[in-house]
Amino acid sequence: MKPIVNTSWLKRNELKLRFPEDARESDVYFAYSLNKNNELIVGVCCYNDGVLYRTDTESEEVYTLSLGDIKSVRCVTYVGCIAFEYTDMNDVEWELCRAGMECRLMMQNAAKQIEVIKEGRTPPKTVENLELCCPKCGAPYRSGSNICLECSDKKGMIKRILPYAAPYWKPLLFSILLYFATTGVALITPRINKILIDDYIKAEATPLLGGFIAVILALVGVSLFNVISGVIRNILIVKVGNNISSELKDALFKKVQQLSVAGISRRSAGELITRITSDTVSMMELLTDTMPTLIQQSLVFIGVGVMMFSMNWQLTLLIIFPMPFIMFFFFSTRRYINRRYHRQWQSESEANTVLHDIFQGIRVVKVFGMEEYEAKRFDKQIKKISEISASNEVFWQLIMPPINLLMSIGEFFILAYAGSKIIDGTMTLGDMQVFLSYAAMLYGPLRWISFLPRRLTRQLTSAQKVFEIMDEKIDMVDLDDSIEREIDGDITLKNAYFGYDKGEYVLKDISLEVKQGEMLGIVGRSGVGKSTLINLVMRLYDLDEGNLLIDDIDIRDYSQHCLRSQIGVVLQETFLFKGTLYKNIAYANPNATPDEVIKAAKLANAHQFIMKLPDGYNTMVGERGQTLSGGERQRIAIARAVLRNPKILILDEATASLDTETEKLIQDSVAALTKDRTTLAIAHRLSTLRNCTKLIVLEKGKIEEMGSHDELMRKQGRYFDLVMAQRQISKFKK
Amino acid sequence: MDNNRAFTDLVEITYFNSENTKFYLTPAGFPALEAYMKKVVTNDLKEESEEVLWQDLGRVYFHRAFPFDMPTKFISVVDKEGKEYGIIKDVEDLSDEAKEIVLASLDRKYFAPEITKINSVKDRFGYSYWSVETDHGKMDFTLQDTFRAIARISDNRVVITDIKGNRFNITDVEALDHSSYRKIELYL
Repeated sequence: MKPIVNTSWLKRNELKLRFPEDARESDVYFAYSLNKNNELIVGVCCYNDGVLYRTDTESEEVYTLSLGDIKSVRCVTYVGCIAFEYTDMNDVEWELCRAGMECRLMMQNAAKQIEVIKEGRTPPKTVENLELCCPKCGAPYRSGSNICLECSDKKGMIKRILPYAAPYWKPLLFSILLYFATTGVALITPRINKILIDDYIKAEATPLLGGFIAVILALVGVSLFNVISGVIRNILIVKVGNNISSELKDALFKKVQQLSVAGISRRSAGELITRITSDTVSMMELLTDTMPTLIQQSLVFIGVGVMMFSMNWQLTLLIIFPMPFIMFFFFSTRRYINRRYHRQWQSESEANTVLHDIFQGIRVVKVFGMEEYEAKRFDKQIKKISEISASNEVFWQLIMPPINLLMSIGEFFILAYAGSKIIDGTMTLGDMQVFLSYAAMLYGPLRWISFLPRRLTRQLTSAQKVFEIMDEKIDMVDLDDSIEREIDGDITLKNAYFGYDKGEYVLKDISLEVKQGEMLGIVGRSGVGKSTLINLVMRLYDLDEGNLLIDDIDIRDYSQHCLRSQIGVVLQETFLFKGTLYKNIAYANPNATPDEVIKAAKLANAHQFIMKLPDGYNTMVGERGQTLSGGERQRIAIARAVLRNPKILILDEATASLDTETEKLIQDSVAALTKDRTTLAIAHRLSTLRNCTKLIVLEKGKIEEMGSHDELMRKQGRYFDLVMAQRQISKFKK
Repeated sequence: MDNNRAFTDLVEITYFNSENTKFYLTPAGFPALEAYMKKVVTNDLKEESEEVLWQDLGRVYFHRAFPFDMPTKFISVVDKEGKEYGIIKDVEDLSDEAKEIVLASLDRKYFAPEITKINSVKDRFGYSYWSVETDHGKMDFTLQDTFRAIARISDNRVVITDIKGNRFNITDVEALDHSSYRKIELYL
């Protein structure tokens, strides 16, 4: 297949030449692909030294826009397209250009950079390729990947994979030698048969009984050898294969754990799981199955070919004659057959989804009395499957006989040719038998090889995916001389900026100070960046700009383990691992003694409900374990945090799913807990934050208000409005 | 039945029609609206106002409530933050001039070229590479997890979302020419 060339990519480089020289290589650059009427064009836009330049295939000239004439820029995301807009000095909004979604990242990044420049700061350099396609050939990347499979070197891949088999070269070599031996033996077998037929069964003179027994014994020996060598080989391969795949899985898992949260969340959990579980397996298959079988099948093919040619080359040519046709047939139908079966598989999995849906929502189905409707839905799906599989069966029944016929044409040739020779007396029955067996042996490798490309592609792609993660740079590395120390708990943010993706800042220009032992309450509507702020303090992400200091030392100077081991977190959603309650609490500190765990549970008000469970602390939770209510889970999480005895405590909606009474109880324990600890607390229920020494109100990623409860109430700003609004709601409740 | 009606009556929808709206274009060609409606309160913590009057809302944004089923009905008119001013139940309720403005800006917002012909489909490494003719010209796109990327909206209507987030539309797959249909058939 010819490579997919991205013509617009080439065109863009051409267009860039219209820009002034120093603007061409500017970092603040993006492409666009639509005109005002959503018609396809190729356009480029870049910023340099106070001026935005824009040109496209529809215009001859370069449109310029001085940064001094505009107030702000932004990207507006529509459905299937995106626009770059700006506001001029008179507050009128204009559209600079628009594009398809492929330009999204570039455009958003550029808008962000221009905003930064406008505010008088220096934008961070773009390191990633935001084009989402391979700069060499223009083929688009797969999601979560930035390696082009079109351009990746397949031979180089094999070179990279081989080292994984290297420690096992001895058993692998031995099994290949066994292949040699079995192939040799397989080639001899028809010869022995020939002797049997020509010298004994069809013998003219009375044969010797001893010789006959010897021939039979030889045949027995051959089968015995085949069986034994097969068993040995399989055992070897299975052992080596398992070792290789578990090594691969371990290595990959370790690597994934080293990646930052940002690096991990770029891919879905499912994607990572398949990479660790199945991609490693198919990479292992490449080493232990595909490659050895390839060697073996080629050996058989070559061996049989040579044998046949040396016996009778005319006949061999006759047999080989239909082969190209068969090969062609296999190749041409392969994809069609695959698709047919894929369709069947697809509809079966759809039916499963329907079932899954119904049983998961069985309560809803029953309550709304929709049994009938669901039965029809399932019936429709089942009928679809039966139609597809019937059609596939029919297809198979129609296609297989011709293939078999085609394959047996060779045999007819042999029968016709050899039969006439046998009648002439120039050939023996044994010779014919040898030919027939060889011909049959020739078709095996042929059939296998026709499926090889598909196998090889799949396995190499898997290997590629595995290496992609292995090669990924760890973006949050501890410094060589990273600090390991007990922290006091002063947190300082200085002009901090942060955004999850290139598009937009979630937090802008945040400056605040929390002293040791203080409790900071973070207030604001959802999506405003409250959780983001605490993610930064836990260093799950690094700031884009500005500084985050803990005890006046940059957070990046600490070793990540040292830092996180001194932070305790109670999150909105509590994740319980599969295991006992005891283990789940002790997760925070595996060295804790049972009485410490009980104390922690008591402090978190969890002890009481735990002791009501029949199995107490040994109750199994997590998947297929005891289900706990949201409030109970939360108390477990608080116990976890307590047990850690952290220097910094983070409460992200920690008491949100508790009833008022329990919340009251927990408030007290939290108060005890937060006494001498720096605490960051997020809460929607403002009453939870009444103990806070300081409150911040976040709005649109910025700190809108900061101060104590009393100060903010006096100010009558947003916090005051929020408190009033909540009081009204609670009046309703009464 | 009567009780049911009582539930839905609790909620009021502001419907925009030719009588209570004046749609116009800003200098940059963005749709804007002057409407006769309850006074818009920007701070959502404040009480809603009961006062009804003509007010210039400035630039507005449109969002289809049923983009696939009813592209010209139930169009939500929202502000920059996505807060709803009201709903256009049917563009036919508007004046011709306003209808034109609304339809044009919907066209600009929802970009999904209509596929008229499929030139080639190639499967490679579990991804499929498509080369098609659309009402916006020739286009190439790539799908990951092809079966999932091709969503069947109804029996014949198909919406394809490619790897980059672009959308393509086929209003009636069966109306495609035979060779195009054969190419997409296996993924349906």
